[in-house]
Amino acid sequence: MPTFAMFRFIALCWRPASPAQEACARQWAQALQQAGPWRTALRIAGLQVYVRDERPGGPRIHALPGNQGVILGQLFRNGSDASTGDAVQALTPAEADRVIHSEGRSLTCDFWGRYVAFLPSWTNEPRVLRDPSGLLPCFRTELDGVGLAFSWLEDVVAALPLGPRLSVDWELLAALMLRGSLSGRYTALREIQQVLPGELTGLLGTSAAARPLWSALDIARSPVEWPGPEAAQQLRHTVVRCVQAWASCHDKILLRLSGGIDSAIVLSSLAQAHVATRRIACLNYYSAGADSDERFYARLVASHVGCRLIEQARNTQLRLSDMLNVALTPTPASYLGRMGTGIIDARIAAETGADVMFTGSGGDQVFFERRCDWPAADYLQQHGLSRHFLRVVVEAAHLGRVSVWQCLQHAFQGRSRAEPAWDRGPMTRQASLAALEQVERAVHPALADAADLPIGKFHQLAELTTPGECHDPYLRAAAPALVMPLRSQPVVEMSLRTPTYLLTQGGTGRALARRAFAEDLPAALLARRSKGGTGEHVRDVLDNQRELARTLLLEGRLMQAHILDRRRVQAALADRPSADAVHPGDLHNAMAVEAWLRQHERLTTGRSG
Amino acid sequence: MGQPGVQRPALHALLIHDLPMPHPAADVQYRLACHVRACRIGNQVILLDLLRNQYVGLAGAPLDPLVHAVAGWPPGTDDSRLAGSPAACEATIGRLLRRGWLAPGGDAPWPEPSLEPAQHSVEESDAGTSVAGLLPLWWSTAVTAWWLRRYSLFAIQDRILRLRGPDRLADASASIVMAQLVNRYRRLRPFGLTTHDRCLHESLTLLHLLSRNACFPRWVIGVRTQPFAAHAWVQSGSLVLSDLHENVRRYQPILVV
Repeated sequence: MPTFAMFRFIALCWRPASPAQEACARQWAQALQQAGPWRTALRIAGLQVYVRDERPGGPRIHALPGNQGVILGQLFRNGSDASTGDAVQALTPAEADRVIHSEGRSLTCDFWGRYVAFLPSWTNEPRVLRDPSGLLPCFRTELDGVGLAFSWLEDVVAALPLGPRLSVDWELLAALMLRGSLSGRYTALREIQQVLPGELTGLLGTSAAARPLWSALDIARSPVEWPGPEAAQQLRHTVVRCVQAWASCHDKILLRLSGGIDSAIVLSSLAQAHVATRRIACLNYYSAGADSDERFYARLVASHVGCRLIEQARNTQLRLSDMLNVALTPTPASYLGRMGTGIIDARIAAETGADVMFTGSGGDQVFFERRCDWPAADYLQQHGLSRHFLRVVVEAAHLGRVSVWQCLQHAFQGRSRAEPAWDRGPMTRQASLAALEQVERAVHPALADAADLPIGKFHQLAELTTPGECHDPYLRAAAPALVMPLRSQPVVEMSLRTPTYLLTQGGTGRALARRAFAEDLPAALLARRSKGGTGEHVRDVLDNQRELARTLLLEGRLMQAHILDRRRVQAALADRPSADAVHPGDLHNAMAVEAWLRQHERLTTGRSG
Repeated sequence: MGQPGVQRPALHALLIHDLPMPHPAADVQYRLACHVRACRIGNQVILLDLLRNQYVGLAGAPLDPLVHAVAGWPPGTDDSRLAGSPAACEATIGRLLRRGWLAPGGDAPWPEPSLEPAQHSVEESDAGTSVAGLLPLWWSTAVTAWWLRRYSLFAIQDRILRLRGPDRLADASASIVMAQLVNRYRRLRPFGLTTHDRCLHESLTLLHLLSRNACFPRWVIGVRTQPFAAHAWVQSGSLVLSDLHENVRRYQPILVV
């Protein structure tokens, strides 16, 4: 199997005044060096930062002068006069000086990309800043008084005695299963916290202060009413600029071309950015099913741009047992989006010479593809009963497939409208109710302060506070690096600033994006209203692996913890008619969690799951 | 799961499973009741009771042999005759008879309308609507809302059949006319009804509206399993009028009017 460079970092920090902590840190630094080829990125009193698996065009080390910190990752310069958008090779002295004196704030304003920055305070308190996109993972914990920051938990567990001390946060695990993601500081492991995107966080002390240097909420609170066609022009310019910037880091690019608009926009942007088509290979997966064969659209776009398209059938005979070897990450990851395709991605990337895979991930959120009538409520809150309100109501009624009367009612109810109930799927009622009580720990803390946001923008903000996953916990370094240009900070900022009624103007999802790229995409794709899916494939894979699913779910830890409902799971796996709404995807996600729990048990007890 | 507000179909499912194996040599002495429709999805048979507006799910290995005992029973992939006791067979059939889903007599009770696979959807276009189109839309919305409130699906089926005028099968020009009417309906739809999670009402409203313009497409109800869901739509030939063809292809038609 091919291997790709998976850039990771680990930082150790301690109080220099504590000999015990210093001794501990020294011992662990030695253990790290023995465990892998770690390179020192920063070494000062009380803080050591290590990296590994750098590669050309990938994340790099940007040392700040005078050992006042280090930035790890890929940086691009911001601003309208930013030239080609190529990755920053080195900060100028003035830029570095601004970063130091602004305590990292200038990084979030003058640059964007995928990075973490270790910026000790003037009292040498170790701190880390995670970039606003959150595309580079960053977690923290403490072990025997020594602070740890890292991107990949397995590195820490392999070298340091952390594994046996990790305990599962069952309430938050249930919240993850109900909500689909955790976007707050807390993870499914009690001892591990996530550094939130845009936050500068202290690394020592259990109550390490976190200070947001960048706030998605503040951006959402400052809407821009772009006049006329300017909104579409700005969106197109921003997306193309970001795609061009990421493309400049790689000689060869593999693009997951699903046949949907988002990946088509990424491909079109690569062409607009004058990326030679010989550098791009597109990969489309298809399978039998109502909506899982989008090759017609993929071929349309690929031929429109003039790129090579590789078509690959999804494998329904894949072995789910392979996912039992999942990496122990702070929070379990779903394998649904990469089921059986990860290995093929890696093989085709190696064959085409690409070390990275671009995707259109994030498009649903930034372009606003959601069946709802919220834009009318948003408009009413922003402008009141102004002259365009009725037009917006009609458009929102189209988007949400409701009547104008119901849309008006919802608009006036605004945020006070009752939220629809969550579907508990295979969970017990008790576990799902307990999971709902974890909302403060499960979601980004900014959402608790967002009561003033219009309902549509609030929900968009909630979706955008969950960073995408860039590492594959199943293939690890055997997977090409993922690049999600549509989750880039400038694109997210533009989307948050643009009111939902502009993003959906005309009454369709992604309306503004369609207009922005109307000249670049085939008409048939622009007019497309359907969305591809893999429902039948997901079901077929489950059908072929029922025994494994029964073993994992009916005899596993989730059942023992009374999180899964035995009757519901048995009915869903028995190929019998059932009125319970348990989707095959729910069962797959539960199996992913069960596999993660097995790994946890193996690490903490030394027993195989 | 992970998605708030996921709606389940308005019609709920009852379960009967673990049917005993029927006698393979039984003559066809029974048929599906005239108010019952059936379809097969994998190893399951779904019945739609049009009088009670209920779906019934049946599972168990010996469903296939019932095709030899019950006229109209959906065949399975394995048509082999299996051994079993006549008593078990009669017990199974008796249970279905008592619930009114089977009736004596071996003749198929209704003609089987054909339905082409859904392959196309109506493309959106500027349909040139006028306010005058609102009154027919409101009338159709009100009529079909009344139907749903007052009548069983069986009675609604009857009313749909009465809507049909002189025998007019959909042809190419009719499809063009229907597509134009559908686009006009789409533009006016927000002024008439909510269609999110209301496929029954929407499909009937569109059907009624089209019938007033002498267009008579098919009204279809389909089901799927894992999990169970039902959906209603309007289709003419391979052209889906009230939804996207990719959506309806997930469902196995159980009723075609």
